[in-house]
Amino acid sequence: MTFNAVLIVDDSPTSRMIIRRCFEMAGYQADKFLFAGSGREGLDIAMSESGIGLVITDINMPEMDGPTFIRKMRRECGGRGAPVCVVSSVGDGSVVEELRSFGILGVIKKPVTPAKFRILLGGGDD
Amino acid sequence: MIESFSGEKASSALYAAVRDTFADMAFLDVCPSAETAPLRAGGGSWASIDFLKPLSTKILCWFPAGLADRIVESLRPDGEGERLDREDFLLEFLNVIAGNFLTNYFGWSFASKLQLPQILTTCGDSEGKPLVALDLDAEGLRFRVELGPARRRY
Repeated sequence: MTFNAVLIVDDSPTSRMIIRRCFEMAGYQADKFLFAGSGREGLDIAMSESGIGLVITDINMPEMDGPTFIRKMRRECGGRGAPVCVVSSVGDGSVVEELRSFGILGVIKKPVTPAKFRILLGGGDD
Repeated sequence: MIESFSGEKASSALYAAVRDTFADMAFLDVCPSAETAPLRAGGGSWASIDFLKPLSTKILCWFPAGLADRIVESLRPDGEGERLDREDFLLEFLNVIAGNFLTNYFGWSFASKLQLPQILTTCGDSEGKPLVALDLDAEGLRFRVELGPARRRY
């Protein structure tokens, strides 16, 4: 499965690297990867790039957290909002419920693994 | 929450969180240290992450230099790691330990609030006795993980 562009939003460069590596190891490809270190950066990219096929975002970030980023992206990008996959080290039930109301694909609990991507996205290769 | 806190449950939850994180991310086996001599946590790296909810406390880790190097090497893909900040590897590692601990202790559906993890320049143990202190061994490298002390909010 190939995506046009995948936007990865996480304040940790290490986590961004791990997410990309696991995504590719799961058998998915992207024409290009875009990276943001906060929800605010992610929102800027989401509003300026038209070919984003998937957004993968952390929850706990400085400047603008994941839920705020997703909420603003859905509101400001309207129908152009890409599918969103959330990754997080913790699962806050109320936050996850709120995120589901924005139509996210699901939540992957860190540590991210290729298998977790395959379960969430389906269609990957072994 | 503090009043109903179980030290035994927290110790098990923290140990499982550390063991699983090392296995999943660093491919290292962790067990309780068999050494009887007190661990001298000198040099190496101290890192901590604070919780505000559901418990007001923190996890504090000390990794000797050799172990920190092993963790970084396991996470670093060939040719990419040099561009990345070594400390960031340890912070992300601690972030995952914290998430695993909270999930082990409280379950998945709870309200949580974590601060961002940070590297400490000193061990910062002036706040009191930890709730849990684990002296662990990762394939011959001793390290320490502490929970707490608990903090009261006014």
